[in-house]
Amino acid sequence: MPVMPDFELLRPDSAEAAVALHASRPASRYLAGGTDLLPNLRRGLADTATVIDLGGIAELAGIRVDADRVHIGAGTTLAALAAHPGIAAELPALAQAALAVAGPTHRESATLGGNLCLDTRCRYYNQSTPWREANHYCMKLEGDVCRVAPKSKRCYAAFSGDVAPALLALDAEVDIVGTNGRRTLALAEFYHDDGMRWLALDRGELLAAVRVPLAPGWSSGYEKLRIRGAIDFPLSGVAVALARDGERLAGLRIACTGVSSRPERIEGLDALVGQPLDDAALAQLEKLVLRGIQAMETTTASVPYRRKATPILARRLVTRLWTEAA
Amino acid sequence: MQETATASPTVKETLIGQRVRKPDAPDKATGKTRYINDMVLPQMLIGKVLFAGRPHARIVRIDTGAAQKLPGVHAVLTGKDVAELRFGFVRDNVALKDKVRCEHDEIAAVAAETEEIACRALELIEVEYEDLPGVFSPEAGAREDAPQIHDRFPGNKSLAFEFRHGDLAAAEAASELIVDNVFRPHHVTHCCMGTSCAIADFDHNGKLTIWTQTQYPYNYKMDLAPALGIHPGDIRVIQPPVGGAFGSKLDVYPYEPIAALLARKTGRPVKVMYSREEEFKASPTRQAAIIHMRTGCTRDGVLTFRTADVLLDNGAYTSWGPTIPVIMMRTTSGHYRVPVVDFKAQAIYTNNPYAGSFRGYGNVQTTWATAQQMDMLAEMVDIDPLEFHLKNAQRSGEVTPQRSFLRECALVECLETAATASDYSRKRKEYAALRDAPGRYKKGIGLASSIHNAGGAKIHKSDGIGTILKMDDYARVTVITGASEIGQGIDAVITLIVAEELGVPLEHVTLVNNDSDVAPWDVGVHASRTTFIAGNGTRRAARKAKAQILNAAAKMLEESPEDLDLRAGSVVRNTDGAALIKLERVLRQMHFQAEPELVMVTDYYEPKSEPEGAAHVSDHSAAYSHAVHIAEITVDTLTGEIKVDKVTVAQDVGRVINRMGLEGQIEGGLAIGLGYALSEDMRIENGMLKNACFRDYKLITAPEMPPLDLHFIESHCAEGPYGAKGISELPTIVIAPAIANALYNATGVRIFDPPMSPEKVARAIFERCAPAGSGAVEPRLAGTAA
Repeated sequence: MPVMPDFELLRPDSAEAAVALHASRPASRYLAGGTDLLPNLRRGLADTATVIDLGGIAELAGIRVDADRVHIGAGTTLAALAAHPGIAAELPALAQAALAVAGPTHRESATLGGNLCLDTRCRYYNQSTPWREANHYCMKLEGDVCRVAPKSKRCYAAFSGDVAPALLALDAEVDIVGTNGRRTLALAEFYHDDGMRWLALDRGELLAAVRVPLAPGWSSGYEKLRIRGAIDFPLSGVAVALARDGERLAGLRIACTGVSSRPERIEGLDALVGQPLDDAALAQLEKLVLRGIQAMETTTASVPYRRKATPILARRLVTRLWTEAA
Repeated sequence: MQETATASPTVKETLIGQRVRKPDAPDKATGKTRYINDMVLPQMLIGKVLFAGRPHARIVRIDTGAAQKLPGVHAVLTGKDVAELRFGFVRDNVALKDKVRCEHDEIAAVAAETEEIACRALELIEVEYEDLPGVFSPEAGAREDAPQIHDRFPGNKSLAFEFRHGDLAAAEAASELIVDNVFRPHHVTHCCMGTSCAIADFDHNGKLTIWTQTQYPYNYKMDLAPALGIHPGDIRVIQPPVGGAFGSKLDVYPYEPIAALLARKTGRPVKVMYSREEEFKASPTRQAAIIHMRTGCTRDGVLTFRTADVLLDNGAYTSWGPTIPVIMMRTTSGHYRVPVVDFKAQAIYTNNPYAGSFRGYGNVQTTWATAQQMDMLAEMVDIDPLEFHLKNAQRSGEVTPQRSFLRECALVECLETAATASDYSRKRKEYAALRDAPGRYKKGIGLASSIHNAGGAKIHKSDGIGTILKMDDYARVTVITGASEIGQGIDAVITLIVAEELGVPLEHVTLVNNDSDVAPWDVGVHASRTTFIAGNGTRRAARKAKAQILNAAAKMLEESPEDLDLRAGSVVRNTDGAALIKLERVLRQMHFQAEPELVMVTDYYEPKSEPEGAAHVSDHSAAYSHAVHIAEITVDTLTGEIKVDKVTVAQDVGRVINRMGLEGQIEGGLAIGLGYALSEDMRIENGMLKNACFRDYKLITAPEMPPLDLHFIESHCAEGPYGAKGISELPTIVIAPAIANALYNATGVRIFDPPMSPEKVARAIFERCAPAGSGAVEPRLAGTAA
């Protein structure tokens, strides 16, 4: 790894203080678990003079299960999330997704908020400065051209967090703190389809918590395609939440990761609701998933492979949840 | 060992075959070990290297003026400082280049007070390049109009090898069945956890001390000297603990002379240590090759001939990689009873990264081909592959066409043991029958074997080892040996052997094996040789010491030395095991008497093997061994994912010495082979490595490690220490084709170019199920080509 650049390190004790510090420093970055930010700093991917450590902020910690929803502080580690019995029982997609991130040591420090805000990734971006120089840079940093789509005006770096699709399928919302106070967004509105500006956060805004509604009668799960079983970003990840009423589908939400610049909620699935989940419905589902993703040459596996594999993952998971719900 | 508790004291307990922990394990597990990467010397400067970052170019101009002037910079060197200092087998390499021949060519080097300053200085060096058309495959390099990479090697031709035996035309005519395939083993790299690192320091007499990770400290001096223009005798090599080598430290690579050149220029110690990205780019690879192999047999399943026409991607310079045909031809001619052989190999210079040696050295690539063709032929003959293998397996005493003498050959026993333990024949039939049945997940089982040298390989003038053993007044033993420890566990083996012979506790044995000015010569860690060679050397030295001690004790006790033995820290009587006198007392009495005697013995052991020779017809190793792997897998036929459910291993180990070390070597070797088979792949596009990081270079992780069922076959090698053979390379060699054969059993597809990635497997399965023009309606995984 290249040398870590110098920066000022601050450790505020409240979300408001953190936001104020961020506003007062021009090139400042929030640090939670550091598993994404620190390698990027070493690679020279972030121009950072100040790092604001969020580890001292009490309100970012903790998981609370209420009657109708679960409240999760953004500073909750992925290990804690995966190990929480209430989440494993009520929101299996979330627990499975948290457990699918990186390896055990990463999950001990990586946080929910960090995984939701994960920088978009691309084989032309997540490289050292000498590598990027030798390979002529890219639009996301120091270059003019998106190397995976040279004719486009936007960057196609892929969002690769595992947890976001699970929370999208579970219909979560997020609490945000900014200099102008607090606001709540549906998680689906938290992301833009743009590799360079993928988060709907205003400058200095901080993700504080995630709230997930409890939906009795629904089941959920997460499936991840990767080359190896640990420390591997998804070639494609699919989360499904599904409700079954006898022989009919009572509800279905699917979200994908690794195959677009944002985690994608798949549109048009309502047409399948109220119908039996037969071969025709599954074929339709595969079509909708394929239509909803935009895999690009951002990783070492090819575009056609990831485009073909994502609907297959979705179908496999939907079929499993449907069968288990019988 | 249950008997020993109740046995009479006259039956000596043996340590051979016990589980003994590596002496350095506690320090390594707790983080106390000080690797070379951790070392800091007083006054030490940090060296950094400027890499070309382009595959083929003329250097028009270099301006180092600004870098030289940066405060804290002590030296800046470029190609003009080393123009005539060529090194490497064929003297085609220099530490700093005057022309760019591959992406990681070292163009300039800086020594500075800190790494930060050195990095800034690199940014200040201005280089103007004129890019040249490149050569990115051996086929392209062999073309008549190909760009020339080295003026001295016209046609881009590097090393070439040939071996012929028997009448090929007659053998072909007698062959009722022939398989003919092209295999393309790819580039992978060692991924040592400790990145490449060297610290160099010159004294004012011109003597160089170099702290480095080398695994061959003595010949290393000979190879390093020409890169510096000094005498090999003026080099002292010190080997601090190494964070992995696996063959990658069996040659001199440019960072080492660069550290030394900077040290000479500045008069201060200089450390050069690669980052992980630099390690990926600039450390050697496994040799990539294109192997055109043909194997024939009769309708009864008797092998008739095997030919291999091999084209090697030499890369930009010549290290050990292009010499692998020496082993490739042994497998081509000796993997099963092959009466007629025709082998030829040509290495072609390209602008790709260049290969060094890597655990399995050439045999990983060859067995990938031979073991798959054995499986294909068995199917064509229409017999169980196990039966086909048994029919062609050599027995003890047979000699291969290259004169490898298989004195103790346990191939049949390995095959039968592994097949029985895994229920191979029944499962293979059952899975093959289900291949085309409906269902997404398919199970498969595959058998592969190989042969490898297991007692060194005499490719140098000597394959021997020097050992010095001394004992102090407290019966503590120091073994000063040429055997390098690079993680393979020779420290535990030597300790165990000394304890076995001299009856001292394991923890009373100290090893000194890391300083070329202290320890005697050894050829280095390679060719699965260290336990065999150093084990013999240690045993011989220990037995000399024992004879000296027992003679002295016999005089003191007025007994005959033949009636005495050393056990549990005492001299004992053989007949009843009674302890007669403490060993340390004997040693003190020997030492402090009128005619003092100190126990310090020397030994040089040379194995009974023949030099390789230019004709390659020689019994070049003191032993040969076989291993059989049977892999059981589950394939997701839609995504192409392969899950390895279980691997059964039966390996001829000669005799188990340290059971724990043996298990660890087989598990670790298999992990390297699994990565090779399934996921590891250097993505080199037009000479540029695109995945120089662990994120995109898919080294396997713990979840991919399958349960292993290990069976050690003890063939009792007459020449090996206690009957042991070398064991460490076969586990890496055999696993990939075992999985390939299992994939065929499960799905009917074969992959010829590893790794068997999900993408390739999915594409192959789709193409098998829906051949072009078949009108298949569901092109689910069509067109997954990269």
